[in-house]
Amino acid sequence: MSAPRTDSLSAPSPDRGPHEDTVGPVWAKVPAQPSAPAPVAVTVTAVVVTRGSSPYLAATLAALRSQSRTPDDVVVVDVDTAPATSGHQDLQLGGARYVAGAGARTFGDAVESALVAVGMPEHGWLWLLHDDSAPAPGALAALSRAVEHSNAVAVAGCKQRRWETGPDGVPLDPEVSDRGVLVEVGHTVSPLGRRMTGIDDTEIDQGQHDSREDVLAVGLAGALVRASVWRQVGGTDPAYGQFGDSTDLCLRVRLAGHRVVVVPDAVVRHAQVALHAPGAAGACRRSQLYLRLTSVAPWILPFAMVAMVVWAPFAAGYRLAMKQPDLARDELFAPLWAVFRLGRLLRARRRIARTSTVPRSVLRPLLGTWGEVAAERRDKRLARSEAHRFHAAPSDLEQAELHALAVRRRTALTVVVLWAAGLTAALFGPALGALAAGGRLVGGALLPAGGTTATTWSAATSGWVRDGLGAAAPADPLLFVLSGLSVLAGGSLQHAVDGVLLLALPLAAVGAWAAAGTVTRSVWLRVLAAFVWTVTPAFLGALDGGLLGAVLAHALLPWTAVALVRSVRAQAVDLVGPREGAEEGPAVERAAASHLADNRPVAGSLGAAGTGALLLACVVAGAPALLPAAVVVLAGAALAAPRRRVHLALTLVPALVVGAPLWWTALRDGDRGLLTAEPLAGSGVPDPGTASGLELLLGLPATPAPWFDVPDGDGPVPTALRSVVAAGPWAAGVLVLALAAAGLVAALLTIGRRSGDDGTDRVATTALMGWLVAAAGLAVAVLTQHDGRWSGPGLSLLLLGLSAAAAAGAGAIVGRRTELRGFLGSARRVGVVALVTVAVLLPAAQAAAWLIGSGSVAGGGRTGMLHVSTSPVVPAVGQQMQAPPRQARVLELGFSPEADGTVRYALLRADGSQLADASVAARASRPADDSPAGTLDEAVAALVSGSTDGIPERLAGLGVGAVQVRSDGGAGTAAGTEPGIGTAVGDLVATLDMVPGLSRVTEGQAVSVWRVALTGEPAPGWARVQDDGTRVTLPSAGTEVRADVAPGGADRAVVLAEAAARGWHATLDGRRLEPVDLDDALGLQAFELGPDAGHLVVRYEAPHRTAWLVLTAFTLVVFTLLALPVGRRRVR
Amino acid sequence: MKRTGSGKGTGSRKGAKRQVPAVVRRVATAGGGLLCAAAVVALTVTDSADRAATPPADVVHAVPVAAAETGLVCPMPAKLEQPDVGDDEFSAAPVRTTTSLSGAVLDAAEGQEPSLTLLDGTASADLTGPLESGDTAAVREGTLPGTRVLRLTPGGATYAAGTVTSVTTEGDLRGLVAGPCVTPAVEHWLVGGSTTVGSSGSLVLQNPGGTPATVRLEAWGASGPVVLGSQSLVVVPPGEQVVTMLEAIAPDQPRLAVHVTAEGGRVGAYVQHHRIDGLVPMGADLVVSGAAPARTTVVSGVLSSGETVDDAHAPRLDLLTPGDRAGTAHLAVLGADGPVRLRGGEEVPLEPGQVTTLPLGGLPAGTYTVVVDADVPVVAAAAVDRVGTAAEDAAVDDDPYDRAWLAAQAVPSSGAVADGVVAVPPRDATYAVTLSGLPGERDPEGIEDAEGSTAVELRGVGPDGEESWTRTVDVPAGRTVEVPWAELSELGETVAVVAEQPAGEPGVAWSVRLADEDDTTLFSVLAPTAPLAAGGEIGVRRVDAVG
Repeated sequence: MSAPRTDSLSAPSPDRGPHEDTVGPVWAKVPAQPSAPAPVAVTVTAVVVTRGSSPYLAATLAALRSQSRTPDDVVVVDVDTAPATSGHQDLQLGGARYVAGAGARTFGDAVESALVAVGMPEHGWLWLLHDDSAPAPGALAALSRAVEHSNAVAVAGCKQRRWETGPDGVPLDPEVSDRGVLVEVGHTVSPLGRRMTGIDDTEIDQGQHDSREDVLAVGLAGALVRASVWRQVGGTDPAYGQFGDSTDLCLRVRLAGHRVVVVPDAVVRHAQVALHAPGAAGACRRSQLYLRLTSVAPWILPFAMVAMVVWAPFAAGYRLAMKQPDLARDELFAPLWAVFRLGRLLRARRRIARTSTVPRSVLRPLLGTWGEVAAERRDKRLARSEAHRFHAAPSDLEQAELHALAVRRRTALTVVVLWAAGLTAALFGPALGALAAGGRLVGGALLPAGGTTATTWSAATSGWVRDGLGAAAPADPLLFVLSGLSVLAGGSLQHAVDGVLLLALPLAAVGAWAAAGTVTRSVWLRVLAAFVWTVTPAFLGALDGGLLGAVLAHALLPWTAVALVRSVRAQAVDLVGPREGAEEGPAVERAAASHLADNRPVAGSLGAAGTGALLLACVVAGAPALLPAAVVVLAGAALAAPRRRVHLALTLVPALVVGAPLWWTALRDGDRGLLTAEPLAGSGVPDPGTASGLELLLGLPATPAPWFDVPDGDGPVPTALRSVVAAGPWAAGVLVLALAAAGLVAALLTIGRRSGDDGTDRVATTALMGWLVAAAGLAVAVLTQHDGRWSGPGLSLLLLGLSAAAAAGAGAIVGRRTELRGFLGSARRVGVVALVTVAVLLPAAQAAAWLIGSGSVAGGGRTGMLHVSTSPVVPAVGQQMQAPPRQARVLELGFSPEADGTVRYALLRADGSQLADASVAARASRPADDSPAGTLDEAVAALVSGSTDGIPERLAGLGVGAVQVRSDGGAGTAAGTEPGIGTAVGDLVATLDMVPGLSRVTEGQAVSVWRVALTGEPAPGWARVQDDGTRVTLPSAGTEVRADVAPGGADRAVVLAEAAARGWHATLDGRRLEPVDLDDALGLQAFELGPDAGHLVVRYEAPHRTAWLVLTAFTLVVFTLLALPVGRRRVR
Repeated sequence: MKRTGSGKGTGSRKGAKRQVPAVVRRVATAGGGLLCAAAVVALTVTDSADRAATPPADVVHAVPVAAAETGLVCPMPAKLEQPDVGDDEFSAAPVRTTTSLSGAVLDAAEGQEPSLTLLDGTASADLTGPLESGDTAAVREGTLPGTRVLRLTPGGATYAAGTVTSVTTEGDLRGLVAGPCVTPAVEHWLVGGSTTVGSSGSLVLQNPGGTPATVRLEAWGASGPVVLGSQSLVVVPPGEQVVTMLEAIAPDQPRLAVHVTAEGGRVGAYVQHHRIDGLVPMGADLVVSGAAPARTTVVSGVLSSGETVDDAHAPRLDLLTPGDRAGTAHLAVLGADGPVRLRGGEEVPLEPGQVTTLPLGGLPAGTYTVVVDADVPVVAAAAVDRVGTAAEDAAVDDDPYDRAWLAAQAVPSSGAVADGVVAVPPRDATYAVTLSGLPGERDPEGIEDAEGSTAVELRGVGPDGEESWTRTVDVPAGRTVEVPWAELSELGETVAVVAEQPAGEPGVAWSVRLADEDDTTLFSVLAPTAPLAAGGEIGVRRVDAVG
């Protein structure tokens, strides 16, 4: 304890500069002995709490020493010391008492340990300081003045200003470099317990808040606390940790009947180191919630807790959408932390109740209101946007340049859009009327897509594929994507499919334009890239063949590339403004990093990463063969990416999660074919054709036919024309490949030299990444072709890579020759013009040849290709049987168009084979002969061969309600090409006519239908109760039965017209029914029913479905929130 | 690959910390780039070497099926449909027609003997002959009182054939009328017959099934399709037959082709045709179902007696392309010494829907086979006349003729195979077998050079069901070989002739010419009946229906 002092009245203003005598260490200048002892009203013990050696501590101690009214005692508590040190007494640090506070986990603990060491002054005051809070010289004097004449004041806080640090993180002298940025002048809490200072982040102290006196709380850094009150309220609550303890303490002091004041004359510079440490946001959030729980009325407490936990996911979602994943995590975990501390919470509440002498309502005038919260939010938003505008605003010169660029860019983009729209109109235009009138796009591999979002979702996630007689297999991930898209398409899957196909061309063209823009800023190159991308044979072939997945993958690949490149901020941007170096010529734009990017920290874009991840999931769903390629490419890209490599790793997550069931099946069975197969493809997949390696490299899925026929002739003109026409399909690929090779050469050439220029560096990286993508794509194409599948997706990836390398190569060539003058210069100009002309004509010729060759989807002659269909597959009478509650199936019979005697049949549960029922995994497994599918095969063969004894019974057993034959050919084919088909069909019709048990329903129509009508039996349906030979058809919907059954015989069984599988479950009034293997059930799922009546429920439950769905939903929500275009600023 | 950002020196602390040595970076970059390019090149080169685009797993499921029960429906005995005028001297039918049926089923399983029933399936009526079961075949033969169906239960039978032969020695119906029992079908092509004055054709539709068959008729004449109007639809009740007079529905057609399609059931169909010139009979025969429209079709057993080109009784070939495209047919006429040039007749223009007649006069006497190759699907038939001697008490002493209608035989795309059977009446008739090797190359230049020959094995089945004789005939490609009746009659009584050829040798088309034993100018030519479809495997494939 020092002697009392009386110099407080003459303390200088805190804003004055440092004292005159500033030679030597600052604390050395503090007089060890008071020069003019005088009677004082207060005794002050300063407690500085530090965590080990901090760069701020020395300055803080110096500031303490230079106080105009020095504290009576100074204690430094180090909480980051070995316990052994605590054993020593009388340690000194810079002239102050040093207390080793080992084991103190909070600020309050440290203060307590100081008090234990030095003894608590009976009527003294504690001056609490952090290691990073340096008081201005007059701070203590001002504080003492404020408290010495009032017994009511228990806590007096300082006005906190920011302690500036240099660019290297070294603290500056607080007295010299003080910009006057306010941290707080006391604070209050919002109705929800959040700390409110009423001060902007960048607000400068101009005395505007100096009128404050009585406040709810002050920051404890620099606060003068009456020691008796500290003891009375029990110090700070250790539950708060580093944050929120001030607020809590002041609140309790207030409730104990004391005043808490802020003294604006007392200034402390606070660096708030802890606030910027990792994890601080979470700690803040926790203490905020804890404070809220300690403050609410007792009866509200449980509701507050529940509300907090329920609200947490939404708050986390908001944080994610604002691209703050760390805060989102804190939002999720903080409520749990608070809830799990119920015991401490209740103790804290009891302690508050014990020390309270006034009702909580007296605090009300000091608390923040909702109006203030809103005002503060608004101010913050306005200030931030103003700051952004100030920083990001381009100069007039830049604006003019940007404007010119924008005009060029928009013109070119318009050309691209018109091109794609024209192609779309030529292909789909004539069919729009039919589509609007309820037609649908089918044909090739594309199946009719009946059903709603709900049925599609169920098909995509149930794990039961209703293909034929059903199979337990994962649905294709593409169906998951389509079920999402069907929501956008108004709940109809068919509309979603039509929409994807209609939009594919424009989407691909604009996507290619955007993707090329991440590599080059040349509008010409970008237009060419868009042209080439839209007319590549892999894409047009997929469109013609109805390969929905390949179409979607091709349309979304460039968008995915854009998002991924942007997620690591590696995209090319327009370079505007004054450039260093004498650059001449018309190179207004070129690939270069933004000058903006140089001026501020470059961060990857989390939003782009989220978007890229979702797009990648769609691409991989459309072409599962691209999954391994994506892994390889992303691994390579992570090595090459300038920043934020973790983004690239994260982008794989949705793709992996959404398709997890299929990936797992492929892994378990070791079946590569599940990945290379076309998803959701029907049996009409066009013959993929075979191409040599060179043809694949040039982007040709099969050996191309000449563009058009040239009349025969031996003259030089026809010969030349013929060779041109034959070489035409190869030309585009050759051009791209040549430019890509140039890009590779340019990249390799730059390696030897010093890479000072960012542009050169980019060319090298782009070319190398392009070739990596190309290699991966080619590998996929070769593999898929080896499996006899459509190699389009691999070729799309190949083209993506080669185009990137080609754009880089073209940029390098153009950039290298800019210096040429005179004749060479004009020769170069001629060459460039010629190249551009050829490059524009090539895609145009390719598109024209394609349109002439295949025509629009409404035209005839598109057998086995995508076309628009308006007539139903199953006549109305059949559809009526297929509808719930009966759900009988319709068996369509026919012959293969090759007239090789092969019988084709389709088992239809709706109007045509359904897209939602096509599953690669289900079709990969071949049914055994004694399975229901084998039984069906036998029944079909018997029907066709004419030995029809007992066949209608068997059909009825399989739930087939009708048999139909198309007079024009048969299942899966259009009009028979061989003359034998018509006879065979007529023969089949005659056979079916003569089968007892089949009765003809339609006469003289395109489709002949026979009803399976057994005498004395009910009409077959999806589910039935079998009781000693008699059958009763049960009502059902989808893959569920919910029906009341009447009492019956003891040996009754429920039989479903679906293959037996472990996932089927049946309950009668909640009692589980045992599955049973009946002899006459033909391998169908059956359950023992027993004699009792009750409510019967049968449904399918795939194992792990719920876990997968939860994981998928969580992943998708997270990535969707990340992808939402909010909370980030557009950076060019 | 490499890091590019670190080289810029933007001063990020991480960049400084993780700075990779420049040499390493450059080597890694170059290596990575070259590696990618090398991978691309390697994929391009290697895959073309061992590229084998394996198709997706074959999804055709072969299902064994048992042969279904079949029934061969036989023609009814020939009879005149018009009433007699009452004057004995001018009676249209001065003598009775004798009709016999001979049927044989080869290799029928034990206890699965074929049965003869009426059209409606009843077996109670008086049937033809006893069942003779031998080692080789089950045989029924005898005189035929009415229409019969030869029913077979499945059980491994290889061949089944039946022939109905009616012989009338005098009167309008003078001639030998013979036709095979046929498998009921939904489609028949009947080429031949006429409905000009003096000609009469009755279309017989037989429905042995249990459901009514709706039969749609289409007819083509010399000048194009014949409008049949409301008569084009005939309902044949189950187990019954319907006779329609062709002259009533398609009058005045010198040439005729009828297409029969049935719905609701399978039917048998043939035309019984006869014509007279004044009072002189000009021949009677059955026009039976021939090959469906195809690019290639063959007519075996065309008999020429050396008629001149303009002889009205020279053999003739009727051709029809039922589609709507015109085309050209090329004819190859195979004789005993190889192909014979048909002057001016080797290329026939075909008008769609018109029955074109090509006279085959000018051929040296002998037996020929005509192969028609067209660029559009065609149906064909040939008509052959043989002159007889007028009966002593005939009112007009012009020579009567007998006519045989030769149905075309199909040539499958896999090549003709001789395997087949013809049933012949064992008594009161003689028969000869005509075999022709079909050259693979049939254009006028190449046909002369046809080489190779086929050893066709002929087997005879006796009335007791035992194999009575076998004989191997060497048939050179491009030539027609006739096994004459003199030779065959020595071998013993025969109810069926079976021909089989080894696989892989040139195809053979054959036919059997039947003639009355007493007057061999009464004749008919029968095409073989194909083997029974063996119970085998049917490829079944589940597909998707998209509409």
